[in-house]
Amino acid sequence: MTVGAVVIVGPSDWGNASIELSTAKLQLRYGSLACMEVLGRTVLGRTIEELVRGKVDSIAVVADFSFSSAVMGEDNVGFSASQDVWRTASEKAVSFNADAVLLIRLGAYLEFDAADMLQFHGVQGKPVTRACNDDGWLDVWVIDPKRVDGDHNSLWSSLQSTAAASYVVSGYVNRLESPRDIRRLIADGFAARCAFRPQGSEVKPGIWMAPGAQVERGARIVAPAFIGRTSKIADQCLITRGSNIESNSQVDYGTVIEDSTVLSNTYVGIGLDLSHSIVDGDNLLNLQHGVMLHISDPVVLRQMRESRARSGIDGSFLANLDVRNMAMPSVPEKRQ
Amino acid sequence: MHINSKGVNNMLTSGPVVVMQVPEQFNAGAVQSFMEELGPLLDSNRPRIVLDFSQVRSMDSVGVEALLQCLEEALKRDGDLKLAALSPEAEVILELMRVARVFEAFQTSEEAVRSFNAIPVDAAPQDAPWYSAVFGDLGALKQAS
Repeated sequence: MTVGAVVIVGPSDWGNASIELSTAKLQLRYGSLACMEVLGRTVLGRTIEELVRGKVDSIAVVADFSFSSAVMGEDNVGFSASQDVWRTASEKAVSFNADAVLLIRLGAYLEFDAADMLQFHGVQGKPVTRACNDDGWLDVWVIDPKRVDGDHNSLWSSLQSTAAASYVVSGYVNRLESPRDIRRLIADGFAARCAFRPQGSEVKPGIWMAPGAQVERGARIVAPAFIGRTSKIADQCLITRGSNIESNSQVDYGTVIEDSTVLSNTYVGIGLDLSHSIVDGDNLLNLQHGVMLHISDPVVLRQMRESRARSGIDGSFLANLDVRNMAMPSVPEKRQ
Repeated sequence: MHINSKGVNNMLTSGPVVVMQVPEQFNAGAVQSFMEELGPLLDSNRPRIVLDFSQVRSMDSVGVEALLQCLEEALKRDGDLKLAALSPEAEVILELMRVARVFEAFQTSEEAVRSFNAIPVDAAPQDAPWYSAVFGDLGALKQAS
């Protein structure tokens, strides 16, 4: 049995019409929360890694934004940017000529047994099987491309049809609908409540450091914590209570980071007290007060120059694949 | 010193409490004009100032530094500067820059104003003579006079 997989990232206006402003702003920056690097990896990268490990025959990734910098892939992983992701996804699904196609919209991070779902799909005998859990439908389908019309409108109808077989996912699910869900994923990753674990080496129990991370002698890191690739933690800093500092970021002298996330390429200034927050460049989202602020003062917070590591695909994924540049014809720009 | 009708000396009364609205964008551009307005008040004897933050949507390090300077000036002249009606944005910035605990903050301007006139509960018994807060018993008052 040949199996293909299409991973859809976006569209950013999917589903919830009244999306939180903070979520919308983060999605505009990254294209999707699934492309945000947390604990050294993205949900997208992790998902593709699992598909490759599961020996899926062909994998396509379709996004409604362009992947910045180099776009990479193995022979069986193709990347496409499209303004109509569903049309492109249906074309890809049909082009695989596979017996079954896994369609995954990120979206949620979920851990499920794909082989079991494929087997369930085969037994049910319906053209479409959709995953669900106690909280409702999930955007994961198995489709029989030969029985589903290749026209994307028909595909869309089939995916939404209540006649689809429902496969109950018993594994970990995080719907990633808001930044709070990101913090929850991080906490669950630290606590090993899911397989989304921090990258790098566990230098002390509960403290992970990715390659190139620098922590000055006088800084204190309290578990659980993660320090990302090439990040720098200055003297007298305190990183505590489940905080993660992502790649190429810098926390300057004497600053306290408590129960917070510092996303990639962010500078956090001297002597600050950052708690219960997510910071991304010059944007600060305080989860306790429920406000998102743009900090125009570069002394406090600022965006650092992006490293090549930030491309929407996490570094670990890059390291494991045969990387080559792929020219993208007429790639549409990320929506502003 | 002002002696109220109950004969209790209100040690804390010294001129009116001034309430000032902090502008929506309390950053480098707005701070200068704000300080020019606040300056004469800080120069007075025992300045008592309440800054209303209900409209503040953004504040930078220049704004925070200005607040600290104002507090320092007020305290030098035996006065005080208090904050009221902090917007969520202002709270986040003050906590981020570790200055939130330096200021006394209240939910409303009225509460902040009242706090200037309140006598601490244990300062003097309710039935004590008006001079007791300063001179203790009658003997000490006679000695002083």
